[in-house]
Amino acid sequence: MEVLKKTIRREMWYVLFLVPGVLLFTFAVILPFVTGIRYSFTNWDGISRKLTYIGWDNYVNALQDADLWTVLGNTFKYAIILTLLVNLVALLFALLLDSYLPLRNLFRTIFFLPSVISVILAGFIWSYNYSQGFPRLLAHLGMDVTSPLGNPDRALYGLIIIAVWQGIGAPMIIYIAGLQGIPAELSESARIDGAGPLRVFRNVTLPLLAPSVTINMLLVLTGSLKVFDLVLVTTNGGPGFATEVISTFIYKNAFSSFKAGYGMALSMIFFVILVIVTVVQVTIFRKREVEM
Amino acid sequence: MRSTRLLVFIAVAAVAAVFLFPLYVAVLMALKSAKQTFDSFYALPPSLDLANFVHAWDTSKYPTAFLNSVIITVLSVLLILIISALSGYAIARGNKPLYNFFFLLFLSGMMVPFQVTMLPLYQLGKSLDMLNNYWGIVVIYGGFGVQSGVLFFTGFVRGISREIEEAARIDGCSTPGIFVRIVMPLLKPVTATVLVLNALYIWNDFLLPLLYLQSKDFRTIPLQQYFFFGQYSSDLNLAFAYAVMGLIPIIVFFLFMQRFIIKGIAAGAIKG
Amino acid sequence: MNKKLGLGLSVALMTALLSACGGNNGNNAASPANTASAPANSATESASAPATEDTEPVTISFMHFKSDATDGINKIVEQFEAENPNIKVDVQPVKFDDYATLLKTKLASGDIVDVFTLNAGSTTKLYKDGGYLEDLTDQAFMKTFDPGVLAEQATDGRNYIMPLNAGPIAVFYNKKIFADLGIEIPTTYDALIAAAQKIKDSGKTPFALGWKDGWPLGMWLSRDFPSNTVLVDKQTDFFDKLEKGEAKFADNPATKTTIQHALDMFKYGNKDQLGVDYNGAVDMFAREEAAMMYMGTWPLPDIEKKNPELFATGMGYFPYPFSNDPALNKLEFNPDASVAVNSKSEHKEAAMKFLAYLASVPAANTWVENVKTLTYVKGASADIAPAVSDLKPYFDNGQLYNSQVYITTTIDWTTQFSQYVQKVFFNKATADDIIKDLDDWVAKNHK
Repeated sequence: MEVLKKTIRREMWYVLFLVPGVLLFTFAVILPFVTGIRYSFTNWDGISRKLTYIGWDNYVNALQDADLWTVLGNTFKYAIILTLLVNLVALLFALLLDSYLPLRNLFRTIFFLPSVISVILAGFIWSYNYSQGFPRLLAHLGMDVTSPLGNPDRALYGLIIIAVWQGIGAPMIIYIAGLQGIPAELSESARIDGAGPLRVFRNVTLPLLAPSVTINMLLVLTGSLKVFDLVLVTTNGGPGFATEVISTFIYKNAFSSFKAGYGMALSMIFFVILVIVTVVQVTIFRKREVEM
Repeated sequence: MRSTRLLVFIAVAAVAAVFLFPLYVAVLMALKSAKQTFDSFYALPPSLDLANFVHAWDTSKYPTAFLNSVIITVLSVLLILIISALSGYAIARGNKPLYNFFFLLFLSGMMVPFQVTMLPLYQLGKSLDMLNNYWGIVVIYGGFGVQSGVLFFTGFVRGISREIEEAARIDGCSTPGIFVRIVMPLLKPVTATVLVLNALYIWNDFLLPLLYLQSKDFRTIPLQQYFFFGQYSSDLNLAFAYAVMGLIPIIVFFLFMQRFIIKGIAAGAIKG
Repeated sequence: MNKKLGLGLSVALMTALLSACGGNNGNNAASPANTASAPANSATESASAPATEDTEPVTISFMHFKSDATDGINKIVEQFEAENPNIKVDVQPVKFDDYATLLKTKLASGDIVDVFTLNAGSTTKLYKDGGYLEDLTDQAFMKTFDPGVLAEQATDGRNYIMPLNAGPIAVFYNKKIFADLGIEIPTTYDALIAAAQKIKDSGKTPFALGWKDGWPLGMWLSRDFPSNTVLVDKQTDFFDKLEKGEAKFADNPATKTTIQHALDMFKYGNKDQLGVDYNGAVDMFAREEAAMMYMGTWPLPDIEKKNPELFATGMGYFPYPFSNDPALNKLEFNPDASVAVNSKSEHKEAAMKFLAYLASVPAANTWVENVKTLTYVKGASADIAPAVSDLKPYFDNGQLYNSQVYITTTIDWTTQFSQYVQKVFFNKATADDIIKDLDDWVAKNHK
């Protein structure tokens, strides 16, 4: 009897501990999310007082909207290239800065520095450097360059460069931490067995780094699928829609074009895509980690 | 071997220079007048002239924006830390299907794109008088941050052995007592992670302030910057002076707290 | 689910949602009709007393898109506040490209901006139809404006906006480059392009474009296109029909003309046409690297600062010849910003005082001096820059026109057209493709 009472009291405390978090989360996320879902079934324009329920019309229209597929294409192209590039560069820097180079703490600071700058600032500074700074500097070297942001074939890559500049800080730190968790004896003994540095990396370091790879891939991919501010402040989707991504597309539909209901439906589709991507990714990496 | 190391060193140094270059241009612009930039883009200013900074300072309410950013970031992070630690502990120790359900709920919340909740959040804020004050935006940041916060804390607490807690319980310690006296001191590393990630995000966030803090008196630095760039879109030197002013606090913070920040990120990666 | 039931249920849900978190809206009954509008009735951000006691200090908000004129407008506001110590004006300048979105969001959510700028024409009608604009027709200060201008800016016969500033939009040119190459001021489109070719051959840039920003291209497009539509191809009711879904871009020959013109501009523009922004373009013109720039008068203060010599004697200004008929190519003269008062403002009296001040000669003179655009206020100075005096004959002979009055549709085709035409620049699409895309877009968005 006494034990039961104690257990109940303990459980009561746990529930009490959980309540504020759940309340806050419900208030800031679930409640708006449910409201958003409801709007996605209406033709609400975002301003007027009347809204009519139109069933699945928004969803049907969205799936038939050629622009949606274009912007999804842009979004995934951006996200996949960025994820690979950030991880590659971050891993390379981590390997070099883990123990190899002198002044490594200074370099670490420099490579991490852009991550603490707001996207607004980064976008502003880079747009200007792209259109004025770099062309003028390279003109001294006799090179004739133009801003990548002004060319539909290169604009997305222009954005990716900014995002790499801003994005390698945290993954680099995570990789360094991962590397430091690898016992030195392991790679040492592999080297004694006659393995070259590349083979040591492939057979010893990389498999042991798998958890870091997983978390970095996951963080960068989900983050870059949601890219918004960067596009908004640098290209606003142009030129010729070449950098229009899903979140700016939703934003423009919901706010600039007075189609809040449609915008909500688009973002629900986006939500489903994000869930699928995350689930798929987690499953793949879990499997591989086990295999390794 | 030595020469390869030297080559690599030079290459990394070159990349580092490229990394710093955009910031160098920003500082250079901020120190020159429009005419000087026009005459020669890369020349150093003839003398150290802080006129742009003075003008930017006078017209931008910079101290207000700075204070707003500090207040909002500190309050939000505190809220997130307290609430997520409590919830995370409950989920980890409760260990029942019910608690697991909440764990999944928090996890899936992280995938909700901001665009879905944007308009409803704005309406909610408007109808509850949460716009243009501190508490409104702090509550919303709390709700956002608690999602990942709970995941971090749950993961961390699950890795701590229960033995000490059980022993304390036998000694007659209540659950809150155990949490405050025994668990909290153990949470330092994960606290650092949650603190760093949320502080950087909130300090630099632009969208939520754009919705919630349009009144001049409550704008944060990124928002104030956005408006300032718009206003002085034709006076770039001035805009850059303001940009550099916005950079200074976060860079100073970063340089001083570097070890802590790096530790926090690294710890989070290992536990998460 | 039954639609009606669904609606009822959701209204109930929404009522519950909003009233559950209600608070400040004590004056609102929780009836369904009111709930959706509840935010619209809540107080403004300014914590000031109601306008009834006018001894109490009052703060009005003034949002405008003349963000490049921030300091000039601040001067006017300072003067106004000095004369009206009880009224404070909270000025919120916003970049033009972000302005519409921000204003819409604010108004939609009931965040009351007391005074704001608008462009005459379609956007004004949109806000008027939304019930956001106070009727200004009978205000005393409106009498100071030319009846013709007021008629032009009227919406459904009433005046909801007060014209603030106006100016020509034409082509700045570098007199020295023109003289060196023996180029006469072109009065037809073909002559303009021939001149551009000559300039290009000489190694200079014919047009400074700055199309990284959305508005310079949009501004040119939304003038070349209606001018050609109405004046050259005589499709006077095209925009009316477009609004009703009865006309297509494909049926309008001017669509192709404008796309061709855009391609010409692009071809004879500076390199990196879409990578250089407005400031970059002005720099290029001020540095005398580019010979021509299609623009309003607003870069003049900047050019004066950067190249005073060019500003004083080196540059001229001529009407943009959108057609090959010199008789049609008159001087484009547009109202720029007009001002509106929010119909839901709680400080209408103060807002009207502010408008009256803006309509006064001293305010107008400060405006002209600092922002270098003309105003419609009678008796205000018109002396903005030497280059602008080139246009005197056009003013004297009344050879002015305003292409913006032709655009009678509320469909925001300019942004879409600008983005589509950029595809043509880079051979991502043909003119026919984008005309079809434009029509599809109109059909999709305006059923």
